[in-house]
Amino acid sequence: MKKVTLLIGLLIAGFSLNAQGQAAYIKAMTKGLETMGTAQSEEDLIKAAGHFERIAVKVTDQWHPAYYAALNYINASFNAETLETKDTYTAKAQTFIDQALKLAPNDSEVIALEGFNYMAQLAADPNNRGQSMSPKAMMTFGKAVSINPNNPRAVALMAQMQFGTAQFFGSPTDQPCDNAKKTIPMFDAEKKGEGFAPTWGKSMAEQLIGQCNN
Amino acid sequence: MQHLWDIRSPKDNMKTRLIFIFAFLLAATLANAQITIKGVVKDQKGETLPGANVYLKDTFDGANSSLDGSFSFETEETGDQILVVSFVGFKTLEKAINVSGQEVVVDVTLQEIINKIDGVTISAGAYEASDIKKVTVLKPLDIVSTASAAGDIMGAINTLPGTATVGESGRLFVRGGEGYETKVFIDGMEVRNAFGATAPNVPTRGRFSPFLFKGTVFSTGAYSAEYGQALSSALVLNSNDLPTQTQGDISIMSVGGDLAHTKKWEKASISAKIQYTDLRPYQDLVRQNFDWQQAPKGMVGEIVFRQKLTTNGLLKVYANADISDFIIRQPNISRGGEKDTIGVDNTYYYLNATYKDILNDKWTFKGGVSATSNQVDLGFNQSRIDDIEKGYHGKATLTWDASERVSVNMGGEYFHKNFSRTIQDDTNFSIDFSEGIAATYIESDYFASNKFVFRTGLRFETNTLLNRSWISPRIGAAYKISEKGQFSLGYGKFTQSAQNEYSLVNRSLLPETATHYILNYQYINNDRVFRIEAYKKQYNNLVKFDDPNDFTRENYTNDGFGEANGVDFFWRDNRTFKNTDYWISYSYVDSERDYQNFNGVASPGFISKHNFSWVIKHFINPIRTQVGATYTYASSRPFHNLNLEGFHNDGTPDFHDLSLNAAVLIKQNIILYMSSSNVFGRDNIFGYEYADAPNQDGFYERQAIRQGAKRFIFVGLFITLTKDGQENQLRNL
Repeated sequence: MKKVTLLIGLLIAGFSLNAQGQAAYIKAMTKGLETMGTAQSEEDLIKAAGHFERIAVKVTDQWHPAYYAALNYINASFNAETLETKDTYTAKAQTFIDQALKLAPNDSEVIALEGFNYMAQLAADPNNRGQSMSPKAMMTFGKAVSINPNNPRAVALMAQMQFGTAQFFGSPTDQPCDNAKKTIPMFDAEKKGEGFAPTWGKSMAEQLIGQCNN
Repeated sequence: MQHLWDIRSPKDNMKTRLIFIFAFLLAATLANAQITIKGVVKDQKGETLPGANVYLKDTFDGANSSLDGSFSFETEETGDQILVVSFVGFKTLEKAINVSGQEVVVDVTLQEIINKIDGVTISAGAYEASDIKKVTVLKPLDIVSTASAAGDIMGAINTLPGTATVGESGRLFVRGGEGYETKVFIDGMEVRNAFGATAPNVPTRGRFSPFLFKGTVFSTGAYSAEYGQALSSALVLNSNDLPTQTQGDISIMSVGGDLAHTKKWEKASISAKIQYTDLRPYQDLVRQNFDWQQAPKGMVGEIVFRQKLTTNGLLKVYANADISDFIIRQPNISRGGEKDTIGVDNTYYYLNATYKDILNDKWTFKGGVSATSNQVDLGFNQSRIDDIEKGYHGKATLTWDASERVSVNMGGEYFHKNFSRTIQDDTNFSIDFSEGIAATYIESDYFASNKFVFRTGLRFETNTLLNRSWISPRIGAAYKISEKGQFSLGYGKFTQSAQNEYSLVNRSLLPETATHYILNYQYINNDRVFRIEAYKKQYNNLVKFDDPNDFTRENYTNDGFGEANGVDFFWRDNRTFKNTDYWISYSYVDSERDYQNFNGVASPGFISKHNFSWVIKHFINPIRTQVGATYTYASSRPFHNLNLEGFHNDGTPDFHDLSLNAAVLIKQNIILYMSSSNVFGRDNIFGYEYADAPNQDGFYERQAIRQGAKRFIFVGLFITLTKDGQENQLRNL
């Protein structure tokens, strides 16, 4: 009897400890997403990135913390002043993307994020990187879309790239605009606040649609 | 705690009780008073560091330091904990702290990591075009978009300081050195005959397409011990890695066309290209100064193979076959202007295979082989000379990241060369020689700090033809005086075997040697680069002879010597004017030598004291067009006027050239490119040829060495076709 009790006790304790870890993880992630939701400035974004970075260091079997750490570094790169800082952020983002890719090598979200990082690197120095980075970004978005055609972020980011290219070459923007519009119902179908799957990007798509209507 | 246990627990339900206990403990933890951990993050200099990540190890508790370097966060952990502070460019710090009371104050100092790649770099002598390194003078694209280059790598390099305009040659003349003193390497492997075969006073071009390369290091002196057999300069071309996509390319040019196809798999790729050029239609259209009996035409085939063998290991194979010929008639002043017929038939093969892999954190391996075969059949009126040069090169290099402060590059290589000359007449006289050079090198960089780096290198070469060895030392250092500015210096001894035609006659000729001393200051700030470099170069053992037509062994000695002193200046600005990028190069050189058949110390005929070039590129967004211009100036070059007393006693007129180009992005995959050299049609004179003997009045007749045509106009349409690239992706939507 004593043995059985001890065994059960240990099992429960083990489960509970895990549950405690789980609770702390959920709490930390939730807090991170809140911070991220209000982050505007470069400093705020880096803070949010730092928060996810800390989670990613401890929780190494989930790709979400690394994903969000990378996302915040990418966003920070758009706000950064100098090319050097931008490059530091995108390089940092890449390390987290690599970490996420190890856990989820064929996840459309992670691949789309990698494409977004290429886009950020391109945007940092378009004259010199345009030629080499834009096919790279397009290829990556294409891969993300082919894995999950209903990933609104992959479709919207790709539309963004296509729109920029079409605008530059003065060719019709119908196709990227149509693609951007298609993402709105996809975004709306996403359940917010459930789990940590990415749900960002609707405002980006709306902004693009706004440009299309001009 | 005991009373709670008693009150709430029915004795028979152990499970419920345990859960209760656990819930209680959890609640107790959550109810624990939060302890604040705060402090300031600084670097060694005491400057605060914003953005550092501070947290307790194995917890989610932490914060980023603010703009003033301060951080503060709360935790429920207590007791002995480890505080981790991490920040890009600094070593991650782990510090044991005791968390108790209400507040824990910890100030931390982070140690900077020595940045071997983007920190202080020895820039003396080197101009680097690279996407990878942040601090570069050129970008790879600059090579193709420079107006005067006309798609030739060498043409673009020729707008950098330290180079001289020698219009009748087309080769790279660096810092008072001759064209043969510049050696070309692809991925570290030797390339022999990197320039097309040509006749006297007919300019040549580099053989390799600029699109093959992702980066270039052009060294004007004091370069690494890894490179040898070049007196003046090493031009190191780094080829592309795996391409991004499968694609086809079509080029239609005013001088020919090419077709290329690239197939990409996940870990491998293969590209094949075939190019045909014939200048005949162009020359029929545009008046030429040269009298071409048969315009230059040629066929080039290329194969590029890439295979990723391990995560970081990449095998690169490149093969090139280049067959070309032309016949030109040149007036001979010694025969009263009667024309000589000179025909050149060239068959060239080049193979380059390299493998690079990162073995582990500390060791990187780089190795390869290259082979060159170059056959030039030169017809001169009735006679014919066939030259065949074959070269092989094998090399292995290990880079050892010995410690945070020290990295070591070491390796060995072997060069083999065979040169044969056959005179095609009744005798069919043939002569040849072989030479082997074994070399080992070791070079180490010591980073005293992120501001100071010191390099020492040694190169040890043994020549099998001479059975002798040479040790060439190299020294370099760089000191950063501020965030943007740095001084660097370079010193080195360089050797290069005597040129083929001399070694053929006298096989005991020693290598020619040069000693370089360079002092450089460089300032790089956000798309603006300023460089100034002073140098001193001493030549020894230069080949000397009395009569160029005397082929006896004793005629050729190593008694020649010389020196070159100068200052190079470079300014590039990509910021001041919107969508505009320009650079200015100016070189001053004072060079004199006594070599070949000079009768005394004099400034050689390829030297212009002042060389200036100004390159500008402007992108016009609405029409998606990049327009560019290059203005080149070279001051008078000395020549030997037989009608005057003395030696090298006269000078040519100055050289001026304004070249223009435009590249129009018609569609994403179609580029129209146009360029013209010498838009003002200036009649530049590079020198004079004098008659062997004076005329009846005792006067030596002469004729000028001129450009082949007033200007060279190039038009090309470049089309890229991707099948399973973007089109496919659109279909996926």
